Amino acid sequence: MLVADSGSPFAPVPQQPQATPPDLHRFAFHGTGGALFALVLKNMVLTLVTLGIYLPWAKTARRTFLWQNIEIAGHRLRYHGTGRELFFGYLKLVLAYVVFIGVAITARRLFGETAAAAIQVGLVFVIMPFVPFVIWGSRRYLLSRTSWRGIPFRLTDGAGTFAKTFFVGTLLTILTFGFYSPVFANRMYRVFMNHTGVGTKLFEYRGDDRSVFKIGVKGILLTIVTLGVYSFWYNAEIARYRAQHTWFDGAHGEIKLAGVDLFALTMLQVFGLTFTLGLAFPWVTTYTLRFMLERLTFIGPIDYAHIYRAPSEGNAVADGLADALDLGTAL
Amino acid sequence: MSTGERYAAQFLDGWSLAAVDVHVQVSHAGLRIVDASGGERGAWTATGLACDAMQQGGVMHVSHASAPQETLVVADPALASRVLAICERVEALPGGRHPARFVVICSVALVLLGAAAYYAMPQLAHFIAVNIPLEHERAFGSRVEALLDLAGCQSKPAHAALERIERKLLGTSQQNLFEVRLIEAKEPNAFALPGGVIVVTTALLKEAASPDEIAGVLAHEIEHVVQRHVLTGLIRDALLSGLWAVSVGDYSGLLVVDPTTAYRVANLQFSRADEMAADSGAVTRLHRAGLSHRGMLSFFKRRQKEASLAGPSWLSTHPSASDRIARLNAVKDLPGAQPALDAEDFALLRTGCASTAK
Repeated sequence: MLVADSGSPFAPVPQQPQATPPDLHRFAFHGTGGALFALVLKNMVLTLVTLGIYLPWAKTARRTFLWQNIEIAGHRLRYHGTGRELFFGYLKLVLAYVVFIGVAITARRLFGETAAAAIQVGLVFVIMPFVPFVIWGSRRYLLSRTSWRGIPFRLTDGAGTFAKTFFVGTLLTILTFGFYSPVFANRMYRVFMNHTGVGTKLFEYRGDDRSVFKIGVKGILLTIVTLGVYSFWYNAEIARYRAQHTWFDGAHGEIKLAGVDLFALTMLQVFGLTFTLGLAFPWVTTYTLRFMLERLTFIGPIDYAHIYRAPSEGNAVADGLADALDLGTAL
Repeated sequence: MSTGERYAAQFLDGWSLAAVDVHVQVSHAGLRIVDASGGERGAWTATGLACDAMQQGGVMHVSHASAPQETLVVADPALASRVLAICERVEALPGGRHPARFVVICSVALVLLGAAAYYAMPQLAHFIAVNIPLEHERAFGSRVEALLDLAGCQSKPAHAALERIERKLLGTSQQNLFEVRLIEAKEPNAFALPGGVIVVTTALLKEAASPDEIAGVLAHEIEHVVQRHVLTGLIRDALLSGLWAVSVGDYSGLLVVDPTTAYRVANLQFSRADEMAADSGAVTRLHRAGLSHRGMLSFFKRRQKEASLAGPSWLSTHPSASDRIARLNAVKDLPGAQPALDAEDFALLRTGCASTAK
């Protein structure tokens, strides 16, 4: 099917499960590849016509589509970010870039090529310590613009803890030839989840480093022995462990994901995109989201009536900066 | 506000996560939202009503400017269509009720925009290039040359012989605009830098069968400089990559094919057009200098064998040697043309750098 059956939001799609027990909170994705393809085409035309000015609006429209087709426990996520705020965020970055270029040109005129090169190299060292803060800021922006059941998500203050975990983890991963990486990833996930919440209720990650280290050492060694094939089973085990130990109020996560599922999904992504020269990416994206979300549930009671709105703020500049530095936090 | 048929929906007050089952009455003037106990949760006028229909699968969110935190979640298609009819602001999926037509229109628009950009780009790049003062291009060329850090051949006899060819090819007005660098390299090659520096490798001199071959190559590179091909190419490259970035940059991470590949393929076509223009200009320049273009011809014939091993011509920045040979063969040679150098000078040129060549 090239496009959605109908432009109506009431187009026929698989029906949501009706007889869901009250303490089983299911996830689902309803978007179709055809609708995303139409959106991508519209974005490309408007971006070209406006010589790129439409990009922030295009990005916002894509996020709106993806977010609002994600269903959690019978309610959709909503995306409240605007193209306008992203546009002004980009403008600030462009301004900063112009100032930097101006400084580099002036330095070259006054002090020669060496000084200009030194400034450019120096900038890398100035930016590097900010990388975890940019990742944090970008995520904070996205969460502050996402709501569920009318309440915005939020990321509480914790960028300093995250930065410390980031730098120590990077160093230890290098020193242990990668064997620390499972614990590193676990700690990063813990910092993120323990600071992420919906309104007044924060998520809580109860996974411990020792268990993850055992899974990780086995996973890394078997991945090496099997020339990478075991990585699917390793990643599935990590995903199951994380979900199982992630709590929201009285409910914990569960993902029914096997190694063979991830293997099949990866093969579909690789071959689906290769044979269509990438044109199938809207269908691959929507299929991947549906595949993963339908396997995820939260089990246990959630006292919705006692979870309230809480202040949630984020800065669009961080989102643009994450894009500019190619930190891959946008999607 | 008049009342009408009642529809079931859910109401989110925006203060807690609790969702309240409500009944909604719709009229042309707006909505009235009443909960199970009969309490009115909202009376929203049509003015200020916002409907978000970006979701697929039977859900629409409705909000009102007077209470932006509150949301009405509509799952009943009958209620949705009635509310949509009075919504002041609708955020809908692209294409509305005719998505297939929308996709076709967008695809056609993309093809037309792409074609317009493809055909306008060379002209635009050339227009910008010719309006950049030559001294700026020369300053840029000097920096490029410094970056390349070329190891030059210092043989005075070789340079003197090369300058004699240069003088023949350049009119008196162009004498000071060009500088030829002889560099030591194993690859027979010649190329022009921005601003008028032409680089010739010692291997090319060594490989040349006649002074007319060297004159042909030099004339070709001089034409690249005169026609501002180097700067035009750089500007075209920047314009094309910029255009590509703004059109698919947002999706480049999702595309399995390197997004720059398509624009590089497009750029090859422009490069080949520049090469053809330089060939034509070189023939005119050679004839004006009283030299034959047969040297160029023999050079291309010799390169043809190697080019056939290098891959298909459509992957090259240069036209195929056979195409260039066919074009040069079609040009009538200059009657009474003199050789570009005498045998002694040609020998000096070929062997001058031999002692230092690697």
